Amino acid sequence: MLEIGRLCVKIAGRDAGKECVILDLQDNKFALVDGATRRKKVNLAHLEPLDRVIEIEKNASHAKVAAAFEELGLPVWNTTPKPKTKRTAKKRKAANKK
Amino acid sequence: MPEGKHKSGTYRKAFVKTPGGKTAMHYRRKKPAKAHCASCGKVLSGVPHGLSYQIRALPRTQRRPERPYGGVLCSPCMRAKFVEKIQNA
Repeated sequence: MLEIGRLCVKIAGRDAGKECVILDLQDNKFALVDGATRRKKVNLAHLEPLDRVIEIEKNASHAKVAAAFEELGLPVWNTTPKPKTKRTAKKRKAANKK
Repeated sequence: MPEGKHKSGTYRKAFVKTPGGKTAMHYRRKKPAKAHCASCGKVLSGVPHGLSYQIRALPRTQRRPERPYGGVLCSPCMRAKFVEKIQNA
């Protein structure tokens, strides 16, 4: 049932409702997941398995997971660069004056 | 005699100790009701209740939990909703 490559949906936490794939199992309680969710260790109780298993190696890198998810047409989580906040002219002047 | 507005239910009496040791009675506004879960009606955790200016002063992440249906559903109801959606699909 729960093995490496099993597609699941996270049902708890910030990533709830997002698909992920199991990359590694740890003492039958935790799993390393990646995919639409962030790459992290999660409790198996917070995962709902789907009826699909994909070919993926253990602890596959995010790039490999992204490729596999791309193929399946599933969204992938990737870090969005933090937009540089433009300081107002007043703040810049004050900073430069010091 | 108390002011007219203090007779309404909006204000509550607060007994405050003064430095001189006396107990003074102040009037304070009651806070609005707590947020409740949309499906099971339990009080939501992680959602403060207060007058709108107090809530607006809070940063966004302190106004509600940062998960789907945060501030609308409690976590058990949210999990049940996702599990049910998967099993029916």
